Amino acid sequence: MASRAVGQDCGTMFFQTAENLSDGTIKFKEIRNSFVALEKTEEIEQALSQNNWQYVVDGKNYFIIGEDSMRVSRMFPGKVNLRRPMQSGILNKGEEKKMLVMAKMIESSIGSSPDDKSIVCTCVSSDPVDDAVDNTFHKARLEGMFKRLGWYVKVIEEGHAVILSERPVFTDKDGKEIPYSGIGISLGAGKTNCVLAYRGLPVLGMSCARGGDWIDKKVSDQTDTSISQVTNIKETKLDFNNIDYDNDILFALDAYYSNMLEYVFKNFAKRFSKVKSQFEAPIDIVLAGGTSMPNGFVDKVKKIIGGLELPFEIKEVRRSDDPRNSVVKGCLTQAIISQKRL
Amino acid sequence: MFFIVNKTNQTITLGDIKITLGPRQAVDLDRMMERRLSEKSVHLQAAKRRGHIEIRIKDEDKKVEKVAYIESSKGNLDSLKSDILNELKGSLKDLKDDLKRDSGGLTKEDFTQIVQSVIEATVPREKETIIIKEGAGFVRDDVEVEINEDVAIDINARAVTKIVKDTEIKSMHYKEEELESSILSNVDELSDLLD
Repeated sequence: MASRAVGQDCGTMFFQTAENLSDGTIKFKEIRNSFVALEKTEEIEQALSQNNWQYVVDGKNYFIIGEDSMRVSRMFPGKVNLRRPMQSGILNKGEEKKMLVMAKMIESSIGSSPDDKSIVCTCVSSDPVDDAVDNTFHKARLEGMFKRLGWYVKVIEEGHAVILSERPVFTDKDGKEIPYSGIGISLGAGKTNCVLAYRGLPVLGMSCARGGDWIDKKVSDQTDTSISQVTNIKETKLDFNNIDYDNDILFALDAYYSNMLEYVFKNFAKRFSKVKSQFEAPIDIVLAGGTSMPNGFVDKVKKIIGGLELPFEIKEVRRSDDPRNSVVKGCLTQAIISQKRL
Repeated sequence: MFFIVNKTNQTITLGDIKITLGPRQAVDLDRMMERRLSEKSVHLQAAKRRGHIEIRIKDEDKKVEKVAYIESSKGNLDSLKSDILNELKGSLKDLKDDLKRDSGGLTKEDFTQIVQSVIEATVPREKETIIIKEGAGFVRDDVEVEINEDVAIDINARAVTKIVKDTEIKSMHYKEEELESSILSNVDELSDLLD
């Protein structure tokens, strides 16, 4: 079997993989990063098989993983808790079965490495600006899960993956175009990650503990609506070009999106000023991730940053054509490059 | 509170704010000078960059973190040393008398070993800092633990293998799609850029 190069993104909401096929297409796999645990009984096993639900079994429990876990938790509200292996961009420290579930997702999605030239590239958050949790432990655990299956592992920053897949271009004072130079922003469920890159190399990275989950929680608190309802409205009705301000939830979503974006750009500007990076011409910003999906999001970002004093000029703000897959595509790009150098 | 902690085993002097910190010592600069002076200190920032000093800022609107010191002051140590010496002298005299009475009991080696153990147990330790967090137990901050990254990954790989032992994937479905992509041209261009 030929050597493989795989991109992997272990997101707070979705677990994704990407692999290049011989015909030049990319095969994406995605599973919701959640599960429920049910006690092992014959009746339950029968129900699982009949419904063709996805599950893993150990000595005492069934672990129903992915979309099916949402279905089961909706069927038994209050009796079955929806659990998540990841929280705020790292392995959920309050979840005792996170390692089991994640390891099984990795095993079932990419399997074992066929040889010692096969590589998987995954990503982690950049250094946080607003919480004390660093990535060291998370990164080691993630690498361990791939390594035990024989993979050579490469880890990059999430915002860097956006740069590698979206190819922002910087035009210098002499009109020379330098690709893979600009700011890549991944707006996920758990965190927002930003990386400034030059010629494909990360110059500066940071992450904020504000993302889709933070917005949902704030709106839920302010409007006394359940988080799942808020999430549903966000995913189906939110359009920044056409906000119905009589709808409390849409109004609050608009307000907290603004708040999050201001927070992200102000913090990034602070970091940028500290490293005294020299970009003498305007820079491109590329946006990706599930939280960037609503209609009118790019215009909203332009409006927010228009009102801020930033230590750099912006040439263009654009969203990835494929915002959900952008990060995992960037990881795959890096995997192929790293494999060539093995 | 603007705490600075000397993370090294050596004394550090911050000339521009006239502060000397012993090994592992922590001080609250807010009690000694205005905050703006601490924040402006070039020597402090340089020591922080080199990893010699850690800065912990806790302002009143945030969770309170108290730092207490156990200072091994010289006066206390001297009196402790003298008490222990007196006690040792007494014990040695008793042991000597015992040896005279019963020559088949303690040997000279036993005797040396006992004295050595007593000395080791009473050697004064270096200054310790104990961080006490409100609502939590206390955490000793006098030991730095550095784990080699490769070792940590290997430990985790073994741990995961143990965790998934006796588990079985009965069924796992992924949403799958195949899309055209320009990824290979990106790879070529990036490889050229990075070479």
